[in-house]
Amino acid sequence: MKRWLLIGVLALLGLAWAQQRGGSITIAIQTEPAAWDPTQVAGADISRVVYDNVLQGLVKRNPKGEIVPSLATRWVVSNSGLTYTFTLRQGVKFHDGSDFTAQDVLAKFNRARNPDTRASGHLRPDLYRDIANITSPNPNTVVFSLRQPNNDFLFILSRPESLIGPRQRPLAEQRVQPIGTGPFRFAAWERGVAVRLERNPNYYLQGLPYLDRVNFRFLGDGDAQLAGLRAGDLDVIAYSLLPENAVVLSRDSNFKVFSGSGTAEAVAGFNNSRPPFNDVRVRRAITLATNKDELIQGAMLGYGTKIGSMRSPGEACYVDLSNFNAYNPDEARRLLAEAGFTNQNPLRFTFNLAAEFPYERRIGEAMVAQLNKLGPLQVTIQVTDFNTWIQRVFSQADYAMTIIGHVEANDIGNYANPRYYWRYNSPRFQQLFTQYLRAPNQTKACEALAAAQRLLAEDAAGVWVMSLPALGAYRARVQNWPDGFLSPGISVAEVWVRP
Amino acid sequence: MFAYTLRRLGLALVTLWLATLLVFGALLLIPGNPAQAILGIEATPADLEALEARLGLDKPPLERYISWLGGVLRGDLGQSIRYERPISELIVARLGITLPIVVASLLLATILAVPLGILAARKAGSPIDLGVSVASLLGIVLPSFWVGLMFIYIFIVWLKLPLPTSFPIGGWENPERALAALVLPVLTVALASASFLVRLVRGSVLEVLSQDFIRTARAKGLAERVVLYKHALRNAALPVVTVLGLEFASLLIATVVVETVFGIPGLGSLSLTAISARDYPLVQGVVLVIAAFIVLMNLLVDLLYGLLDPRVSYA
Repeated sequence: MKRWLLIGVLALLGLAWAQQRGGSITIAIQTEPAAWDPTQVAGADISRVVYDNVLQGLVKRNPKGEIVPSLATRWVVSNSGLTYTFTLRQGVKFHDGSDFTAQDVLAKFNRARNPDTRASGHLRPDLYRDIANITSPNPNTVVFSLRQPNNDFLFILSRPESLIGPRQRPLAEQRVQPIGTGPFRFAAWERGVAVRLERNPNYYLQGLPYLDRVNFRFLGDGDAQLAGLRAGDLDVIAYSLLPENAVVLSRDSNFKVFSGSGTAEAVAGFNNSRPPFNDVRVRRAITLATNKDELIQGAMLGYGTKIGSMRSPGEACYVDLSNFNAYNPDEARRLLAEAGFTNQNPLRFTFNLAAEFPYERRIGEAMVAQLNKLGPLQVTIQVTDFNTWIQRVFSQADYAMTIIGHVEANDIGNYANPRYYWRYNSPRFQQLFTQYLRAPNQTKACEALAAAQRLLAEDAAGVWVMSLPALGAYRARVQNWPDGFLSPGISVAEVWVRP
Repeated sequence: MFAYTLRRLGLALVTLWLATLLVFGALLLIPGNPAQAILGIEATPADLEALEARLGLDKPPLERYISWLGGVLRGDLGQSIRYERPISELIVARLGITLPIVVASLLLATILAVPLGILAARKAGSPIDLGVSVASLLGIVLPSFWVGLMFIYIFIVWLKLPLPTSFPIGGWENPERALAALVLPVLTVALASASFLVRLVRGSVLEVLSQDFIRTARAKGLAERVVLYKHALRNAALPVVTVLGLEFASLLIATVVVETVFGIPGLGSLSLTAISARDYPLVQGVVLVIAAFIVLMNLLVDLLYGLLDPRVSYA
């Protein structure tokens, strides 16, 4: 036993010694964002690059989804849940050499909560509505006073919108070349090609980062990504690796394929306000006619996790409802007949797909094939580009059914918004969600959130087909790649390469 | 000749203006808007309004078009909505990659297609002719994205040639790598283009060879070489030159596919980005530049015609 312990310790030490400083890697991501400041422009790919690599907030979500210290070293929440006191890390500098101070924090969150977005240039002031005021009693401390308790408050502070830049920095410059406190500084943005990050030599955590340079290459074509990885032009395919390419790479010892559950749910959503989808029997029937296991196996070659409500297994307060309303075509036909739809008089509707998303598109096409096999359903597919989808489906709710991946963590609250494109208006759900937000403690908060997940499933407010896999691959020389997918960013501070 | 050229130039300008009007109208008709493309689906209506105001999208379309056209006439293509950079700067950078691909592809295609086409015409019906026909048919029907991928796998993954699979980060800062990155795209485009040209050359030469003046030349006892090179080819070149001009323009557009496969930041991928981001001024700028190339090529072809064919007059 003792000997094993010793060997274990030595092995760990060996790992620690082996970590090499220097070198660079190139990581492929799918799309090129419009800009790089998540407080001004939204997009999952912005966060993937800059979150915790370039820009940091008071707290951050690590790859396992835990909220941990970042620019604040600790915090205290008052018993009332109304006061959050943060102790700031000392001696931190922004990449431009200026000091990070409490004044930057105050300026940032006063800008964030300003309802006049035209003046502030800041997205989503609604997130910060509950902040009554922010003060700094001394240079090391920042105090947030809330109007009412909000269980999501720390989570909100861990969101990409809450990242902090220098208060003097003009917004237009921060958009194209963000300055932050992270382990890497934003060196260059080659439009259409890549973003280059370089080591921040003054990073406050000793010995980090290991890499000198990190390139994020925009490469949307899955086959081109695979070719680049095999030829050595790319070191990592960060996400959205095509399942068939994952199978090929997993047989090759030169590459490591990683797959896990992230925070993205593939939601086949109904327009709940439009007949017949305002009838719970019809929604349940469509859920019962969907064979999720077959979709995971067939469309995604086994990559993906079955779910039954708007939450992924890695998220807090998750309730496993994956076998709720499980595949049952006979019951589906019975319910449809009750609602007046039979083989002779089928329910006809259009299913909208956005062309740009390889996973959702396959899943959607396979799901429509399943629905059409049932008999009383006649579904046609309409594929458009994402921008058209946003306008028609998302902004105007001019659709019957659609499928899209909802990447954000903790986004079940969208069902509490009756104006959201699902047009789901359930006073009971809204009440449960408010209960969760205002709960006096974590246990009560989870109880409310569990009830909310169940209610959605019973209401069949959507078909939650699967938690989409965080699926990617890297060359064997890449070490210490983050082994969790519950952070908005791809944190590369501790990644190193074997020479 | 001078008056003719002037008239043609005037016509070209009208064509360009109509093209911009057409594009502007088409963009108004397709759903989606640039602010939403930038902010994504979590944006609130207030966020969108604020951005639209900043981008000047809250002005009526006609006003936007007129101010854009005024800028163009002053030689200013305006700012890209998505990239917040001068459009001329973006287009020049992208042309610096796409033009070399197009020119090199067209040269290579011509070098391949002309001799092969002549050979096939002279040996019409022989196994050589059949081989050229089959090969060119393959080159036409195989989609270039597939050909491109095959080239990557054959030359880079299997044969381990030191070529990049995509345009290098840093671009022309590293000229050797950048040039190496264009080898396979040029091969891919040239193959498709040559397949089409070789059939044209063959047909054109065959047609000329069957004409009376060739029979006369042969009857005079001229050597076959002289008949072919002095009489036949000059006449057969006419339709080929015309098509080469048009082919140049169509390659500018055809590179979109190849640029996607080879991850090349050229004009094709810029136009894709512009359209999917609904970056109206950028789309208009790219279309204007491509249309200008097309018009210019047509003009050049017409003028060349006069040099090649004494029967054409520019009255």
